[in-house]
Amino acid sequence: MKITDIDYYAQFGESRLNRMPAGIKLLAVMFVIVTVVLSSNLAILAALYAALLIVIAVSSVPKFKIIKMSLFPLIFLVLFLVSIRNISLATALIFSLKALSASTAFALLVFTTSYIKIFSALSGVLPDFIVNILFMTYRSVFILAKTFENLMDMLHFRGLPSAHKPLALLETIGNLVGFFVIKSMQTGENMYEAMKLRGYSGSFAYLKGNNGKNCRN
Amino acid sequence: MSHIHVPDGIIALWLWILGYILVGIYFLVVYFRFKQSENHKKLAIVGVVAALMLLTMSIPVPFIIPYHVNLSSLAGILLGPLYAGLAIFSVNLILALVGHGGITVVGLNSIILLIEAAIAYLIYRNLLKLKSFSNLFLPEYGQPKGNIIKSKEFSAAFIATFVALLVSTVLTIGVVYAGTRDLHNIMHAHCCHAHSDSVDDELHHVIYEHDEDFDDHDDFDEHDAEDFDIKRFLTLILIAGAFGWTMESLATAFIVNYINKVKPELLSDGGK
Repeated sequence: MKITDIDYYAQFGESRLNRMPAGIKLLAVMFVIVTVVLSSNLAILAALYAALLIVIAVSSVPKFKIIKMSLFPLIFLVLFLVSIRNISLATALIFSLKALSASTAFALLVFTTSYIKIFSALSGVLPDFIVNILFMTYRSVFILAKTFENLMDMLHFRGLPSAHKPLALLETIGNLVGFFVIKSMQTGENMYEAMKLRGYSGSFAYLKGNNGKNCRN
Repeated sequence: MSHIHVPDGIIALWLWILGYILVGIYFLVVYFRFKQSENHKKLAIVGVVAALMLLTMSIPVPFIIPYHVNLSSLAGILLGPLYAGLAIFSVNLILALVGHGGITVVGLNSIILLIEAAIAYLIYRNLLKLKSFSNLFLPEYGQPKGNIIKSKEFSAAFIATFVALLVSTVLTIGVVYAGTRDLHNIMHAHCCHAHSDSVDDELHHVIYEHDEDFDDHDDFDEHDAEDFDIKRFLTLILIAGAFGWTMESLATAFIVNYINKVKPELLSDGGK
């Protein structure tokens, strides 16, 4: 799922979870992660996952999309589980519940909290320049997304070379990404000039001042 | 291929904490270098490269297995290892938030990909400096030979990316092995932090209740113990990796080749 789509739900969602302060939601996610890391009790992990599913069921959040996104780590978990000798059903369940609980908690967080609010909350833990880069990455994703969509449309209309010609296929993708890199670098320079004109001097007052409360505007 | 996609709760506690400590040390180094230069423009470019990495990951490469390019090596070549690490951390954190790998492995992922970016940068730069390497791909009349070999930049980027991916995949396998090799003890260690002995006994029963071999502790057979099979994991990763390294290296080489033709100064700015 695209970050831009997730952000739409986070910004314009009307559920109670959307209105809840980001700090509380981050603490709840931290609680889930600590439980997942420290506990290997099947009952506790099953109860935790069930609780998260109940929260999804009773909230007016995009249920199917959140659950679909939370299942993503299972693809990689299968690779790991296949590598365990003499694995029992209970162990497989424990690892699956750990993976699902953590990913469901994060899916709920990102679908109900905008990245700006998350980064703003993280500014108390991470150094300033890291939070700035996270914020600029987030902004750049939206700025570049339009160019990227146009490129993908172009690729779609012109057609990709057949997978039977892997070199031609990779050359087309390489040229496309190469063009996108050049365009992005120019956009980055323009973005910096615009930020400088608006008074940027190494930190975003916006992220620190109001805890991202005005991010809808 | 060099990404640890392992979800949360699997890698040993000490290992992922070590990953975050190493990232913390890296941040300190970058912070002091950044204080000297105060190059804010570079931070904006780092943000753009991170966004670029995130967006290009969604370009489908139709092949036998679903695959996406991971531009860590390209980030190393474009930004230099010092700043590429910031883009890599940013990408890993955002990906962890959308369930693409656990939040606990963000530190380890960032360190491994930072090493990948640093190796790609160093090999790419040094190969281009080698006169014999240039002569190999640019014979006496100064034209690239063959259809596949586009230029010395193409070949240098291919070799740099391939070696960087090879090293980072070996590191990934090593990290996963170190973090999971004693699965039985990991599960016990985790449980003992959180529960009393009686709960621990109960947990042991719950874990192994489906496995008759574990019902009697006296008859515990080492061969039947659940254990991470490094050979099986290595085989799976190397089969997938053989595709991944070649595809990613070729894709990066074509990207570098295109940039070299259109805006070569982007490739010479790396690390400055």
